[in-house]
Amino acid sequence: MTTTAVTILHGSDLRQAMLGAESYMELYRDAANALNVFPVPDGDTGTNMLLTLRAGIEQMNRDAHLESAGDVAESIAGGAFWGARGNSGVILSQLLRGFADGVAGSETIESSDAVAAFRSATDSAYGAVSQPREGTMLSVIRGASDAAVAANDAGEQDVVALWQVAYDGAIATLALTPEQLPVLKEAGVVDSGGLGVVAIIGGALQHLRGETGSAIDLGLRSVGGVIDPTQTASVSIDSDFLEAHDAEEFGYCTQFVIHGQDLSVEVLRGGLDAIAESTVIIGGGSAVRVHVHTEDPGAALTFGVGYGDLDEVKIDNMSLQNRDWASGHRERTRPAEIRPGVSVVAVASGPGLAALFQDAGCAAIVPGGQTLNPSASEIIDAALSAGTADVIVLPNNGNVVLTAAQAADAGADGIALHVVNTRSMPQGTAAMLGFNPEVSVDENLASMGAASNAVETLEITQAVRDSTVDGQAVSEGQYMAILDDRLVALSADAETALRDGLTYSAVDDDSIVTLYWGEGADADRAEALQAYLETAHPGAEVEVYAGGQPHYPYLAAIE
Amino acid sequence: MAVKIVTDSTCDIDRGLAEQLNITIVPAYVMIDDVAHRQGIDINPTQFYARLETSTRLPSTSQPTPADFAEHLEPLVSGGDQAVCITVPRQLSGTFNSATQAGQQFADGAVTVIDAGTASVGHMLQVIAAAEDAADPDATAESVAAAAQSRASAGFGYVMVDTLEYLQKGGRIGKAQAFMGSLLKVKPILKVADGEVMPVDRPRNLRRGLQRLEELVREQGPASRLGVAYTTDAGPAEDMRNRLADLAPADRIYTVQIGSAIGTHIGPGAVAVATLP
Repeated sequence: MTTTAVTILHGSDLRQAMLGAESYMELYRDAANALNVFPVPDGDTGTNMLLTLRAGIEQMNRDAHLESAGDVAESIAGGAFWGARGNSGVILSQLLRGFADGVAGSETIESSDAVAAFRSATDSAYGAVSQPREGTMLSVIRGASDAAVAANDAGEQDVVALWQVAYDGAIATLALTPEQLPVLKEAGVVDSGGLGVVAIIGGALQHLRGETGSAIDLGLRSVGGVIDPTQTASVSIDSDFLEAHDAEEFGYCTQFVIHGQDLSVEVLRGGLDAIAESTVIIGGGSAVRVHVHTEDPGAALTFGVGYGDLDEVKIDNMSLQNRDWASGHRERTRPAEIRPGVSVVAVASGPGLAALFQDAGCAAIVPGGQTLNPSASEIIDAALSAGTADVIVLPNNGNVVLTAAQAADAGADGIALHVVNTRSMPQGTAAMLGFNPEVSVDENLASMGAASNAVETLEITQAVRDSTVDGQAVSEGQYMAILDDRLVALSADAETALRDGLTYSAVDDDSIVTLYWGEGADADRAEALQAYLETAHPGAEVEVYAGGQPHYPYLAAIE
Repeated sequence: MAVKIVTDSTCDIDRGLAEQLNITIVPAYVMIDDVAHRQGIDINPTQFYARLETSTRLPSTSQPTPADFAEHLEPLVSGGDQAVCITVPRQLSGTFNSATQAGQQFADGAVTVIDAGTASVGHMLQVIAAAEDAADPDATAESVAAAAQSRASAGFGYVMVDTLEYLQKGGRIGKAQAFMGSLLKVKPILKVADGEVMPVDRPRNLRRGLQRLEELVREQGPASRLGVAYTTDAGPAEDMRNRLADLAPADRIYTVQIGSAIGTHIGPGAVAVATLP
């Protein structure tokens, strides 16, 4: 690539563009995380988009032999599909799928191909959600697409110039998102997924221009009253970072989870950066997930062991991997025998909640949900480990519902995946108690769905920043009581938030209240709440359980 | 020459009603601290549940022997009667085999043994219906047995237990193993049909459980007879009876206390319900 204008893109240009997109998504990851409308410490949009994009790029790097632009785009879409995490990740994976469809079979990308790809990306992204809303990342990709279409109609032949127009369209649409979606305006933010789309298109543009060394200004300060993303971004792009990415196709992709105490992402990153590249560390406190690329996976594991117990260790040789992705099919380790019958896999975070699902008869647990959202691939792996012909997935988090649906759509050899759309852990446990392995999958889907719908969920968590939600000013550090996704009460302490929040629920003297206490609470305080509730609602049954979930001192099921 | 109904004591029928309907009961045994007690004769339910909760070792049950059956069948057959014997399911007990072996000692056709498919109160309803059939002067052993067999094939009973611990310890948990979880408080509901113990649902408490039991029984459609039963607490069984009172004629609704044989396996706090179509 040079800085002179080009009119077409080759596969190698697309590879460069994707590395640019990744570096900018990395740069804007924290900013996108901070833009979540609910100032809750989970469901991080930026992290989900980055990891989804990175899954696509890792596949692209493994498929180093592919040359045509169409094949490279297909490789990226395949990897992103399996690696999609969170709702924004799923939408991004569908966007990349559409982009690949738009250039399918093309050796190179001309301006008309690029326009078709942007259009197809837009259609595919809208198709990922059942009820598309404007003011989201969907609007932003459409803004990019519309601008590209108009420029092409006006005779623009230069792909990079077209890309610039698309980027300008994306930025302009992002600035409009607070006007389109009132919750954004109220919270004083632009859409987080939309910011991710801008970063990806912008990062690709910069590399297409041959400017791989410095950050570009995404120009968001002009949006009145919104957060300046560059102020919260904690990393900048430098040449070391890019060189690290150039080396990615060699060595071992090494992933593991560390369970320990007071784990610091910064400390771990500092140590791992010395022995590995492309370090991604997520989590903190009692568990972190590590993803590095290294020539010596043993060194990375040894380093990890020094901080706690390792779990979910996965090492892939990036040089040797040669999987068949073109067909959209990934070869997996199938269980020796798939037996007839139904089983359940649940997404759960917190040792207590994971144990509870297993105790209630869950065949496999996919860790995550409230910290790191699992990928479609992780859900399918868990379903395969269950070993039955039908597997019911409980996403147990609103931000995992789409990923579970994506996993179910993809399916796996000999296994049909089904999803009961549980949006919280309490809904999930209720659904689990409605499971009966002796009846058909359809009967289970009906009974589990009904059981989950019969439960109200009250979640208590601390605001991670100042915001306005549902007309109420929320200060950073305040405890929010969220009843079925609606903010109902605020307090300086978690217990008051829970007590106040419950008054908005349907709790009465006939209710069963199950209180799961997690990080930030303790058994004594939970038992005091139990005593309080039993006095306030004589006849109600109150059960207390140590869920161990991160971020949420209390989760309550009211049924 | 008449048709007489014989059963084992695990059907939990009231002894007075059995006498009135001319039903012969062969007692099962319950072993408590190495002593064998004949159910309903040497030990009554009140005594048994007191022992169940205090005994260091879980009591065990033992089927009537072929000799026990033969002893009860002999006077009937030698008096010129034919016997139709309805027993607890063979998957759950050796009682059916004991009765069959005993029956082979008599002339062909003198004794017909039928597996009730379900237990306790569901088994009891079948025994009562068969006794009423047998009271018809035109009844033959074949007609009584055929009707009894068809009721047994469709027979069922639901039971809601406080804990699955007793079923597991007694080795009768079967597919209800799937509901063994103990971290959340639930009242497992099981169905006994075709000799199998099947998991049905896991309501969170007694009130929801009774509601669910009512739904399950109503789903079975209109009933000619209704039976409710309990191990230690009559209240929920009475509640169940009142909820379902419209299902069957008042004189065909029965409430019984579950005795030591089934009680050993389902434990205190259980409620059972069954109907006949």
